Amino acid sequence: MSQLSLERISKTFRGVEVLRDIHLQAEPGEFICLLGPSGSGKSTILRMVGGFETADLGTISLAGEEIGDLPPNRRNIGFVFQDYALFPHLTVEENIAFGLKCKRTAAEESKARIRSVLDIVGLTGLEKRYPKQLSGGQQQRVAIARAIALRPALLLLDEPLSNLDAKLRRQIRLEMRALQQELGITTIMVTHDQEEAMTMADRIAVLQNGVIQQIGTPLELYKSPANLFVAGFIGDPPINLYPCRSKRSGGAVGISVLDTFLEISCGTGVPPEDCDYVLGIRPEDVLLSPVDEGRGGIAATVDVVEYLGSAALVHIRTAGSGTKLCALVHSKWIPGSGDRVKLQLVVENALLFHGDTTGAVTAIEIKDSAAAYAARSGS
Amino acid sequence: MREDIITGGPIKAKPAARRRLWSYVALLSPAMLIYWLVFLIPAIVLLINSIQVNQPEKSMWERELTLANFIRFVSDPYFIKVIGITLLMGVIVVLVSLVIGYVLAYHIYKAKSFVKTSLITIVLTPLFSGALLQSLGWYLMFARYGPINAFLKDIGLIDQPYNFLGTYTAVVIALVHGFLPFMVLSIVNSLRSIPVNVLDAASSLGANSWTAFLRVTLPLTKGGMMAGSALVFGGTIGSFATPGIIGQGKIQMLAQIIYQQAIQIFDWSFASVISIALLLVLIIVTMSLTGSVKLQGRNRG
Repeated sequence: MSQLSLERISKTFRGVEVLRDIHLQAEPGEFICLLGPSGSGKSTILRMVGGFETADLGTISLAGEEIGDLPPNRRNIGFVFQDYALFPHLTVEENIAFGLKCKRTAAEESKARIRSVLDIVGLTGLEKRYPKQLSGGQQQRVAIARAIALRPALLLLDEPLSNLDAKLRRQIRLEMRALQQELGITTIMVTHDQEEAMTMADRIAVLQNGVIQQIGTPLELYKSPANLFVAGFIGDPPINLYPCRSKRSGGAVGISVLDTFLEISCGTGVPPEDCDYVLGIRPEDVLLSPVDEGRGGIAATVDVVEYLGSAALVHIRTAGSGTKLCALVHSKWIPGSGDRVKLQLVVENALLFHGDTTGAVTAIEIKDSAAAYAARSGS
Repeated sequence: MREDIITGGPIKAKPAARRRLWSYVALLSPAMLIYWLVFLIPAIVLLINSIQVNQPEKSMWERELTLANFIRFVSDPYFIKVIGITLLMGVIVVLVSLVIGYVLAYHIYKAKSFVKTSLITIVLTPLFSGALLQSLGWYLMFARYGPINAFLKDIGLIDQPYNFLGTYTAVVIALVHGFLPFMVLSIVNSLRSIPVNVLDAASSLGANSWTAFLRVTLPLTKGGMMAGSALVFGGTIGSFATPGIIGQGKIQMLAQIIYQQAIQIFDWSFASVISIALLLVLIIVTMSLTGSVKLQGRNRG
C-alpha cells in the first residue's frame, strides 16, 4: 500500500484551473520531486497535502486514511517552508520543542528527541541561539529538525534549497538525501531546479499548467520523455528540437532535417507520409570532427564556443540550410569559433515527437545512417 | 607640515566625514529649530520657574530661587493622590484599549480589502475630530436625558436617569475611544509584519488556531502592543479636556491641577513643578516600555 495517494485532484482558483486530474502515489520511504516551472501548480499540490489548501475534487490519503478534510494540525505531516518559517521569538531548542509541546510529549521524551534531531542535522551546541543568529543553511536545518522531531508520516519540502547559495545547495542536497534515506521517511519535494530533482529524487513528477506530464525515475525522464515539454524541460544544456515532416524519397520514408535525410521505419508496416514531427537530439548526441580528418558527416560552421571546464558547449550552424544546433563536446579537440567542422548524429538516441499532440512517437524508429554518410563522403 | 605643490600653502584637510556631518546638520536643522522653539525652550523656562519663588511682578531673571515648591508638592498627600489617580487612569485606559484594540486590530488584519478600509476609517475617526469635540460628543451621550440613559430605561435596567458624568467609568470610556486609534494602528502594523508561513508552520506542527495565536501571534506582536501602550498611556496621563468635561471637575488628574495652578491661582512656579512631575512619569514609563522592546530586539538579532 502506498504511503501517500492523490486521486483525481482538481482545483480551480478564481476561474483559473490550477490543477487537473492529479494522480500521484508515493511508496513508503520514497523521495518524490514535483518539478515544473513557476505557476505549474506544484506548490499548490504540496500545500494541499499539507492541509493549507483544499481540493475542489479528489481524495488525498495518507497511510490508507483519508486526510483531505483534516486541518493541518491533525495530519501528522512535516512541512519545511521555502523561507523556513522559523519562530523568530523562540530559540532553536524552543522552535523544535514547539510541535512536541502541541502534541503533549512528556518532558523527558521531548528533551531526548530534541537532542537526537539536533544531532542528526548537526546543530548540537546551537540550542540557545535565535534564528536570526544563524546562517541560512543552519536555519534550514532547524526547519528540518523541527519537522522530523514529530516523526511525521510524510515530509513535505517546499523549494527548501532555493534560498541558499550554489555551493551550499550542492552540499545540503546530498545531506538531505542521505538523511531522508537514513530515516526512511516518505518525502515530497517541490522544486523548479531540474538538477536538484534529478540528483535527489527516486521519482520525479513533471508538471506543466496544472497537469502532470510524466512521472518516472530521473533516467526514464531523460531517456524517454513522454512529450515535447518534458524533453525540453529535462536536460541541461537543453535538447535541440527541429520540426520536420515525413516524406517519401526514393524507396524510403524519412524526415529531412539538418541538411540530411533520416530514414524512418515502423516495425512491420510503412511509416505514414506527410506527418508533422519534431526531432529531438541531445547536445551530447551531436558528435563533431575536424573537416581535415576526412570523416563523413554534415558540414557546419562553429558560431560560439562556451567552455564549461570539463566540456565545451559548441553552437554550430549547418552549412546548407543554416540550421542552428548545440553540441556538448567532451573530447580533447575543441573547435574555435569560425571553424568548419563535420557533425554526426547519434541517431539511435534521437527522440521523435508528434507535431500536433507533442506526445512521444514510440512505434517509429530512426535508422542509423551514419554508415551512409561515411560511404558518401568516402566516394 | 606638508605643503601644497601648487599654492605652497599647507594642504587643507577636507575629510569626507566632516562634510557629511554638515549635511546632516543642514538636513536636520528645520526640524531641530521647531523642537527648540516649541519644546526645549519652554521646557527650560519650566525648569527655571519651578525653582523660583512665585513672583509674577518680577521678570524671570530677578526672582529668588527656592526648593519650596518641590517640598510642598511631595509633602502634600493631595498631590500624591492625584499622581496616583492619574497613573491608575493611565493603566486602566491602556489595559482596556489593549483588549479592545487587539480584537479590533486582529479583525482589521484578517478583513478583506473593502471591510478593512472601512474599519480603519471608523477606527481613525477620533483623530479627525480632536479631544474637545469627542468629549462634547460623549457628554451628550452620557447626559441625564441622553441616549444611553434613555436606552437603559427602555430595556428596564434603571428607573431613574443615572448620572454617568463625573464617574471614572465615563471618563475611561471617553479616553479609550479617543486613544484607541494609536493602539489599533500599532498592533495592525505588527500583525502585518508576521510572515504568513510562520502561522502555517505552527499549524503543521500540531498547533490549533488558539495555541498558534497564544504562542506565536501574541508574542510576535509584543512590540506593537508596547508601542501602542506607550502612546495611549502618554496621551491619557496628559489628557485635559476629556477628564474635565466628562469628569465634571469631580475627577482630578495632573493636567487639571496644572491648569488650576497656572490659570486659576496664577501660581506658575507650582504649576511648573507639577508639569515636571508629569513629564518625569511620562519619560520613565515610555523609556521602560520601549526599552523592554529594544532589549528583546537585541536578543533576537
